Amino acid sequence: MKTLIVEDDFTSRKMLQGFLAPFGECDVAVDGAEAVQAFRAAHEEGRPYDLICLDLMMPRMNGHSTLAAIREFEGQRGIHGSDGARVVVTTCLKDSRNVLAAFQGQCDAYLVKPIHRRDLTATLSNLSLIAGDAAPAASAG
Amino acid sequence: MLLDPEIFDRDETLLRFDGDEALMRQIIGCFLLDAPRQVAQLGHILAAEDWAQARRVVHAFRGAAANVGAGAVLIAAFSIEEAAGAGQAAEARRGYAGLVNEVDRYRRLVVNAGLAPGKHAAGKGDGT
Repeated sequence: MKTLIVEDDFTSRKMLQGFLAPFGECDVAVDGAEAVQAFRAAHEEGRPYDLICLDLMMPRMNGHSTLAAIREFEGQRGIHGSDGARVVVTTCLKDSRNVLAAFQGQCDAYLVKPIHRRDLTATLSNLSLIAGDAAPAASAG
Repeated sequence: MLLDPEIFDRDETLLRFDGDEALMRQIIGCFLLDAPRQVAQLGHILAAEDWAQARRVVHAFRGAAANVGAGAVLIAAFSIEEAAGAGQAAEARRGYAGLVNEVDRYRRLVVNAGLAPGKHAAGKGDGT
């Protein structure tokens, strides 16, 4: 599974990387504009992202605009529905306006921070990105 | 040692990390490393009364604090976000003073508990 984590906060980025690294390659982008660049570049390399974890409130380009740009790019290439990248919104914003806008923008799942590792893993499983029993073992402290 | 769950809720945080204490410690370290920069940046932004930018920065910081179980930091950050949203300068300044204090209390608690190395500077900003 190839993942792009789009998150402007260092701690949140590192935590998501920690959660997702056991499942494969993880790239990071610090805002929406950088994410769209990375997304396009991955397509041009012929190795698109399977999963995009997308924060909403970010500088330069917010998560909703980023999602719109991603889906527009896919649409232009004839990529629709489950053939596209799975986008999981990861945000502190839990109001209905943002949730609705994210799903209208064709996100696949919406997780509110603080993110629980099990919720994220279950979401990946529900989206058929990992096997149901693929939860990583906890390392000793 | 006993941990004050209002400052750091270890059990709840460890649960969110699915029992992976090594990763939890690593992420607490990331938070302590970045918090002084974020707090100082926020101080400058509040001093300039740039409310939109303040909301975005404190919002990101709130997410970081939530990740590491820093409940009192989270509450202080939320009060700034609310004040910034309403353009209330005095409230934002009070909230900021509280935030600086809570970041320092969190840092001291997790360092004393052996959950993070003690080299990180206190979350002191210089803005408002």
